[in-house]
Amino acid sequence: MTIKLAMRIAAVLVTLTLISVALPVALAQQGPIIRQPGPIIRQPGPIIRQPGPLVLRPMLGPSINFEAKLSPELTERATNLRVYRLAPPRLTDSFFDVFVEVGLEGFRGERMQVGDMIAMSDDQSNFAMFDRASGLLSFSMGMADQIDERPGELPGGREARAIARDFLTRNELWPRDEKQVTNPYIGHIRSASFNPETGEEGKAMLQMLTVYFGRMVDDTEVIGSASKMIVQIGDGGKVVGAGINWREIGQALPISARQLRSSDQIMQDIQTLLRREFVQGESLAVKQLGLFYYDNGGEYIQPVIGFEAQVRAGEMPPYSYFGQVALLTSPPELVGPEPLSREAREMLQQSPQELAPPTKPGD
Amino acid sequence: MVRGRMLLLGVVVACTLFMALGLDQALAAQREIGGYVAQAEPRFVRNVWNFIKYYQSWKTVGGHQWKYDQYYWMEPWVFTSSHTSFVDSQDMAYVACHGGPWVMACHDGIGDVDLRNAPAYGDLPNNGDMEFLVVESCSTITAFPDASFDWNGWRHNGPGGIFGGLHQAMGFRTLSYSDNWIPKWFALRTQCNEIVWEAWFWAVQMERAFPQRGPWQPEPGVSYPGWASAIMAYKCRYDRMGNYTSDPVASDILYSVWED
Repeated sequence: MTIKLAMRIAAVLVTLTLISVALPVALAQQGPIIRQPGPIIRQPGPIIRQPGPLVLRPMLGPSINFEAKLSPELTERATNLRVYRLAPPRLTDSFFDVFVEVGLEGFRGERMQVGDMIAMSDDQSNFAMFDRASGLLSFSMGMADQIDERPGELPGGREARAIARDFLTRNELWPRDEKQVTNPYIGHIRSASFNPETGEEGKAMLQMLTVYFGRMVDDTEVIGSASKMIVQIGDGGKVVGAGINWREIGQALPISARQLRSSDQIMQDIQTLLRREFVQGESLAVKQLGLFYYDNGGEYIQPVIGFEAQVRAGEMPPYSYFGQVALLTSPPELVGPEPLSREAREMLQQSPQELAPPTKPGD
Repeated sequence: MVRGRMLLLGVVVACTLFMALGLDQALAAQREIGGYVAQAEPRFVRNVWNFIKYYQSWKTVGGHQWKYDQYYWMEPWVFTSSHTSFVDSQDMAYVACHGGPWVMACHDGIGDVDLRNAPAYGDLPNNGDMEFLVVESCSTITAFPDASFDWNGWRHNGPGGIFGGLHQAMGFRTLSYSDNWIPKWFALRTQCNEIVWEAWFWAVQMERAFPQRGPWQPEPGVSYPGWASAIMAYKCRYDRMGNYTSDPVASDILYSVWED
């Protein structure tokens, strides 16, 4: 009787477990596998002896020398700028599917979803991704194949620009308002090889051209992580990669002089930012100031003050920092780096010198 | 007879539960990420955190699962004498610091880790595990055309070369400007299983800025956020976090890839 009961319980357990395995599989067959990011789980890491928390150096504050100042004409020009709300992303799931079929010549790969991003990759060197939230589209079709012992058969700069533009236009990725598009630079990706057995060094080979397209609005350059398009040109002038992070401009919101931060406030903001970010800087010199629009991949393009500071610290040669602070008293979105999260500091551990090596096998 | 059936049933139940909980996958292909932060500027914390925070729980990337396992302040021993406990116990190491050609600074502006003198990373027989090294710093991943470049500094069997099984190392060959979206772009693209060095180049390029009114450059001829570079074994040039080749050996051809 007891054995029969035990067997019945076991059978029920097996049935329930099989259902729990089969159900998600059955559901997954009705559509692409969607991997949801799970809740944030704090990983305490290995247990180690803690000699006490290590605190970042206090903000003593390096001396800051303003070699450039906001000119009256710059602040005057600022009143002619606007805040632009961006239009919803033009690119949609169906657009991505069509683009993969037509623009990427029927590329097939394993499809996955990470948050709002859809991505495809194969066993070769091909990759494509699309962000539903921002409309960011990017792909690489054989970029790694371009790296070899032969220099790329590449077009000249003007032709590369035309190829890039033609590709974007044919695939309906070129912005509607062409006047906003700038082409500030054509970059290069190069390679060289080394044979460790013979010691033979290969020559530097130009393998790809990178065509950069930027944005100008109201005769003012847009900086930030968005409002740009990048196209990689490989052998034979073939487009082997691209990244398009560009949304059309929607509603324009005028700004008045009262909405602008004063010169003193802006200088103070720059000073605060530099002292926060360069606690070890010995001296900082603000070399340049400029008026920019700022698109950080959010919902707005807003005017900001960009600045270049030269930092001197320790034995390092002076180096430059390109920062931004808000121009508006109430900016619609955060400008510059986000504050350091508490979690980022709390989770950081001091490394004991004698931590035992892990016993897990490597691979 | 009955005992035999019970035993068989028990095995079936155990196997089913094992599969249902996904333990088979987890045990088969777990990979670790280590984040290492210079004790100099707050933005180095942000740089590393903004990468590893995307790997706080196990993320399935191709045939592997990835999660950050270490998050430490930098000390020289993390990269040298105790490397098998730290950077080399991880499959990917992400570092943010001040740097110079070949060197990283753990505390301030003085380079106290020289990769030319560091142990071979990824050397499996000697407990090395690292496949990918990312250094978000100025100039550390010096590339072929640069004045200080010497292949012997990177080679597998050179005087302390780190390519003892390491597949790809990437960073900047010039001065660089940190505290931007590079770690985020890189995390998202690697999660989408893009080739790792390509994901790095893309992350850097998507942050590129060309302020046109005036000579805004981190150094002459360099555009923000600096020029990316990578050193890799040629056979590893397609390696992704989801699938990569076997460890390179001393005779494998090395490649330097860089932008300008």
